[in-house]
Amino acid sequence: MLDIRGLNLAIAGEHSSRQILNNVSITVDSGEAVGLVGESGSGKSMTLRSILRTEPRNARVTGSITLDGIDVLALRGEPLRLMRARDVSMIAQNPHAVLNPVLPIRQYLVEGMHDAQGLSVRSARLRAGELLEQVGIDHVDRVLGSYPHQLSGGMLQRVVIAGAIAGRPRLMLADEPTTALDVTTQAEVMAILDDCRRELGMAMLFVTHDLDLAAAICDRINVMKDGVVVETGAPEQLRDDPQHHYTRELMDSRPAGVIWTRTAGGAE
Amino acid sequence: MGPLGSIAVGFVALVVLGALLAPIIAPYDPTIGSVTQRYQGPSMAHLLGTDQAGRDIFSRLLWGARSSLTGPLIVVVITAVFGTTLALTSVWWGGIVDSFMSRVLDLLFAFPNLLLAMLAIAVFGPSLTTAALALSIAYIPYTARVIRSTAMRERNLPYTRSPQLQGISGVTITTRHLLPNVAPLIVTGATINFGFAMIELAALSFLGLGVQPPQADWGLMVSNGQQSLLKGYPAESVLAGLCIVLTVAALGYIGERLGGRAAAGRKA
Amino acid sequence: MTTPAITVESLTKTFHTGHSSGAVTALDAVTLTVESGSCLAVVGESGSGKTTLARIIVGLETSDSGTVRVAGHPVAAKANRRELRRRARQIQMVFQDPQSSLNRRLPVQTAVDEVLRAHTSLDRAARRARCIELFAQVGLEPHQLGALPGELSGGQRQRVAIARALAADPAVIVLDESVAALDVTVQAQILALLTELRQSRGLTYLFITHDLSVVQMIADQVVVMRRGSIVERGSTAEVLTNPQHPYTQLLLECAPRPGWKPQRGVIRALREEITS
Repeated sequence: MLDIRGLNLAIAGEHSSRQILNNVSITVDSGEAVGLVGESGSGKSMTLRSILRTEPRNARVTGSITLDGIDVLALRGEPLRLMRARDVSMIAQNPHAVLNPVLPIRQYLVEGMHDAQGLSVRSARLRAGELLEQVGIDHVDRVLGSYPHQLSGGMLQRVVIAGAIAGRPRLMLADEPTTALDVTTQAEVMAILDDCRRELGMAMLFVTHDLDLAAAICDRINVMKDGVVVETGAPEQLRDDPQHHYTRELMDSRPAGVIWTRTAGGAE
Repeated sequence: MGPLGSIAVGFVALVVLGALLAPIIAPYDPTIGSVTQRYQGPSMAHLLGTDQAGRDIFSRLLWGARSSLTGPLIVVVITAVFGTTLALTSVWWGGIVDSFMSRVLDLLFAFPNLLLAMLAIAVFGPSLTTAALALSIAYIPYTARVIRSTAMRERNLPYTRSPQLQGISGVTITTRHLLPNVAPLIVTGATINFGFAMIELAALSFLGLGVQPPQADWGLMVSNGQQSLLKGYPAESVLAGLCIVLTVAALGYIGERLGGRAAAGRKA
Repeated sequence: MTTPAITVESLTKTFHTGHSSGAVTALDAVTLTVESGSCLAVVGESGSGKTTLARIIVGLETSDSGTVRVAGHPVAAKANRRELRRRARQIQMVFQDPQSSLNRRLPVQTAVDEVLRAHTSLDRAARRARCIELFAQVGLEPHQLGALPGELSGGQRQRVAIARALAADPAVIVLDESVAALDVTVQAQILALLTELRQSRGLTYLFITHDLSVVQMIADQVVVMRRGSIVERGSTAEVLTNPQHPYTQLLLECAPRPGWKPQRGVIRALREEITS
């Protein structure tokens, strides 16, 4: 469904240009969750931005990005807006940057559905409540009437996820959606994200620096370093038989699961 | 800085050069005219014509640049020195010292700048020095407040906390660590203040409360030219006014660009 | 028996927020001991009070009640500069953020030099020699002495921060989330460096972190904090393999690791167990 082929991206400086992405090829089939793992400066976020066409102005992009056969790099104006509104949704790292601090949560959700998907305000309001239930929020009415500063980061990120699944887009882009959260909140948000995606049959491109995190919810993982995809494979494959030395280095940087194993013992 | 920035810097440099070299390049004595030469139009002898007293306008503009620049310079230097000292002392000691200083600044804020200046002039008599000193006092709270808020943020960062833990003295930390990091802000503020001070000092001179005739000063020239203006000889007022407006605009632009640069530097 | 490096006894700290909601208890009668030459990890999420604890121990914050002793010396609530200097030779801190822990306008050497100047009577040349030596110990090259923080990577900046802490030749170093902002591969390198320094210099660490896998890589002992209280303590192996408190179990359940899947049901059950 999403097909990135030979993507190059260079940022033009005053004297020289800097190559950020080098011949990046990534595919996401419909309903599939694909991870994009790399450390800071690997180009993972820039890849994501190119899909939404929000790369910096002075970036020169070559290669191709197609979404269901449509050439994304050629889109502009209204068709681009429609693609962003209907086909693709985005979950960013910091929900505070996404949510308008002076509007209640209800407004954020209703606005998204009304403007982007043309739902009537009345039905959008009804749907907002359902969505919050779907992302595991208990006191729906209280949360709908709250302002962003009254809610915790984990709660806000759930709201953003609710907004991202509202229009049932075919592709969800997630850029380090849990990095700013506490460990226990991260686990919950990850579980919710995974559940929602599976229920709705959406595809996802999940960008993170944490290989274990990507492995937990992705079918396939691309490992990226310095603008190059060095290895692609299923999580187990990367874990058991990493081909590239960098993948191995990433693995070795974290202790290999000596810790508690009650889940394996069967607490489910 | 871009083409507009270069023009702004070039113009300011030209004004400063004109002021410095006035004794050499000004063709006539700015204070002596001849009644027979009143209201001359531009000619080879008088490049920009003469005023009601037959004085050469070009020479007066050159000499006028001196007082028109030194006045704001005094204001800016005093403001920067005292404003910064107050802000940094306040930030370092915090607590009661900080609250006390804040209240004093609030009190000063409550006075309109020009009113404060006029009050001082009523007591000490009209002169450029009195006007400049009075304006400096009026400007200190603005400068102090802006610097205080930035310094406060820097104060809580580990790089200033760490030397504090070593038992290094407050004076050392303030001068070695805090000052260099708020310096760009001080420079930007000074540039912008310079423009404001120039206008307000011109206004005081216009009211007869600043530079005294027969000295040349742009503000004074605007005021002197009033009568000529009514008689249909606008050159003096308009040219002096133009000098003020262009200098202030150029400085404002430079200040803004410096501010942008400082902000960018902070991010990096 | 030798004197413990750090003794904290029923330390309490309340922050008054200024809102009508009133006060937040950051520390509620916290008691702990760090044996000389060991590494104690303090694990908790945001709001657990772990950072407040660290800040009180080094003297950046004052407690409401309770005592802190570093190498047997009580840490005074309000310290004068002489007291701070004396304490700095005992205990140093490495902060989280490599972005802001160094003055971005001064060469990184200044940070180390300044500490040497405060605590030693070395002259300029001797201080420079010592800087080079300290840089070498943390894996930096002499030519990097003159670099500005912006010219170094996050890992290198954190190495400078460690060199700065070592400059005072302290017995104890408090590491406040010191590897949290780093990439995992860099994190592993810094943790290895810290372990090596601890062994070669006989240092004691108090390691503040939210990350259990980091704990596993560096600490001998662990305390788990939640909302200002210690809920569990013990040796690292014991706590990580046989956690007693449901909150510790929750933390472990939620820590990403190979083969891990986050499960809403398990998380929810443990949360209920904690609040019940």
